[in-house]
Amino acid sequence: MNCRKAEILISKSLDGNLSAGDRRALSLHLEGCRRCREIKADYNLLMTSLHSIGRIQAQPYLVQRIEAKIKDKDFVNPFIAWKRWGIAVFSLSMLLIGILLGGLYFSAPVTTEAQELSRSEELLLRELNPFQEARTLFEAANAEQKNMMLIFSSLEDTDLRRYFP
Amino acid sequence: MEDTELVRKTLEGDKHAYSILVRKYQTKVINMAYGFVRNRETADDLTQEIFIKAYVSLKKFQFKSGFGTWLYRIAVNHCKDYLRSQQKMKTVPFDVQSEKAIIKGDDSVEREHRRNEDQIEMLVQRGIMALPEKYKTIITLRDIQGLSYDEIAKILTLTAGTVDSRIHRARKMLRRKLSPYLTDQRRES
Repeated sequence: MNCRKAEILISKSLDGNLSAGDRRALSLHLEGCRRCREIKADYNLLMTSLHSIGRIQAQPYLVQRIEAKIKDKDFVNPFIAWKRWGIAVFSLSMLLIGILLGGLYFSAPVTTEAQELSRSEELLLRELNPFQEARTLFEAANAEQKNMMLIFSSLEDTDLRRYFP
Repeated sequence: MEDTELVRKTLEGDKHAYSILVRKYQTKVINMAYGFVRNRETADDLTQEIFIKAYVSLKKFQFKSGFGTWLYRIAVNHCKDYLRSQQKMKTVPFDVQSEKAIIKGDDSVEREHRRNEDQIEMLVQRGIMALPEKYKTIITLRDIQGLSYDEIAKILTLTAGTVDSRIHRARKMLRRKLSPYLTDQRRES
């Protein structure tokens, strides 16, 4: 056994935590090692000093002071309870509002703009050229007829004009 | 009445039950606080704060450990927080010869108080205060408070092996710090 190990065992022996084997090994080491005997004596003195550190008694009025302090303290503080539950309720409300708004957005009826766009889609679905009208207009041989057609087409619904080149 | 029963009654609103718990643990808690701060008035204040803190946190007590262990954990953490706030936790230089000189020839305001203190106790206390926080805590719990390894492990939430090695290191550090004093004592006896 070396001195380092011996010191660990000396420290353990102060708590009575030594096995019979360790106790024997330590005794053997101490017999032949003056330095470790001094260390053991130092530890014994240290323990005596530590145990001699004065103990104090609580003041007689300590319990009364604590009783007075906890008198107004309840386990269910309404404000704390509100704060704790309020955050959860607020988060849940926001989530529900989000879900509701999302549902409304996606399930909303087709808007006017969508209906206007569907006119060209409808023409395409019927395999008709949405630019047919414009082509007819520009292919008109008579210049007067062409002008008339342009005037009439300008009076038509604005959403149709957007498809004209 | 068992601690758990007293805790249950307290939680049901019986403040008298809590007073019984305070009476039961006040000496241990104040000595633990005193072990950390070494000042009577501060230990009194800390003890009061610890019991109020425990009362307010009682609803968090899960009955997994004993009330005493749970209370000591609060006490240790509260004392450590206090010392940190006072910036007393930093390792202070410690020299036995200069400490002896301070104690013997002290002309400060604390002279009267120190005269009443035992020189040995003063040296040991100063030696403990000079230890790093974790060693100071463990030596206070084991060698001053006399708590078992198992109790310390539960309070500090450490394994038994860590408690064992930490206690040894703390004692070794303290022995080295107090070595000149211990040698003198050994020669005298």
